[in-house]
Amino acid sequence: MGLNKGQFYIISAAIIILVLTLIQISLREYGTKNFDFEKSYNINYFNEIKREISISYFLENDRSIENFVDFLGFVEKNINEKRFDFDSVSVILLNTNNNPSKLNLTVVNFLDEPTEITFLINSTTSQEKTLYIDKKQTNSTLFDVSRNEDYKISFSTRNGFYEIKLDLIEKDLHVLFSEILIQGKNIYYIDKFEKHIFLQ
Amino acid sequence: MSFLAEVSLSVILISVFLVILFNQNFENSMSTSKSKNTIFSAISSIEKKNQLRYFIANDDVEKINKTIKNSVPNLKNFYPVVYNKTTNTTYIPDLSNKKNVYTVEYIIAGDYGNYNPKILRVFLWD
Repeated sequence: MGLNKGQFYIISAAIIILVLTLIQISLREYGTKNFDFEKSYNINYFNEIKREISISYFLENDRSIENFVDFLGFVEKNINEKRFDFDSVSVILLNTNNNPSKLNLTVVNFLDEPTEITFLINSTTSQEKTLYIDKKQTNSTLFDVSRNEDYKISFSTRNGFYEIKLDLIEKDLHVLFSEILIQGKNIYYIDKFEKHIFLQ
Repeated sequence: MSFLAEVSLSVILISVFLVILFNQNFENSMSTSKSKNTIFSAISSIEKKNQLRYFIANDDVEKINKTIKNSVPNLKNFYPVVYNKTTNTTYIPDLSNKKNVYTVEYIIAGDYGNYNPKILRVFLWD
């Protein structure tokens, strides 16, 4: 028994509607992918993390690391709300007039898992230290240094090998290195920055 | 009319109707994304001139409003709201009767010498 006319109309209309709905969904996906909006947001996050050290450092030196960790948490929460992932590894170096023969190295782990990083500092006697940092935690160590000498600290994260060059002089030195990764559907943004601040 | 012609005609009519309908939805989607890009670029540009950060850190919605209006004079339907880590620190307007409401965000760590993380969320509508 064949289909009658009415059934043919209904089946044809249903097929057409289905096809056009699929086309519409594809066009909407194209519409949203076609703009660099998410990239602009990522640049905002990156630049503001970089700027945070200048904002909170000078008047709140004793809370500088806490403020930095706090801000990373704030940024991560905002990024997660947009259904993206935020990963970051930061290294903070301090050499102060209060303790000029020591270089304090702190790692801030904002990955989703614990990490272990080995730091090598070139000096007359080579120093190498390995830090284990739990996820969303910090850990610190000390290196022996001398003022008026240059140093190079090298280390690897899961995304790259890095070297930080230091010129120690008769001033407080604060260095912030941060590697940032933001990823999600159709988004993969990775960048790093290094900032040196000398204080009296 | 033959049976085949009748079927073809009905399919064509439905197709034309649906294409017109879906094209409008696509244009709306593209237009929203373009507006978002324009507003974000404007906010970013204003902030680089050191005008916006102080206003956001101090919840000065009036000045934020004025600054954005000066930068994007054609923009009519928008309202800025400032948030801290947990909640809004300025008034959120009732936009339940507005069409196609969307937002653009800009994050700051604070103003210089004052760690005070905030989000500027600009609500826009058609």
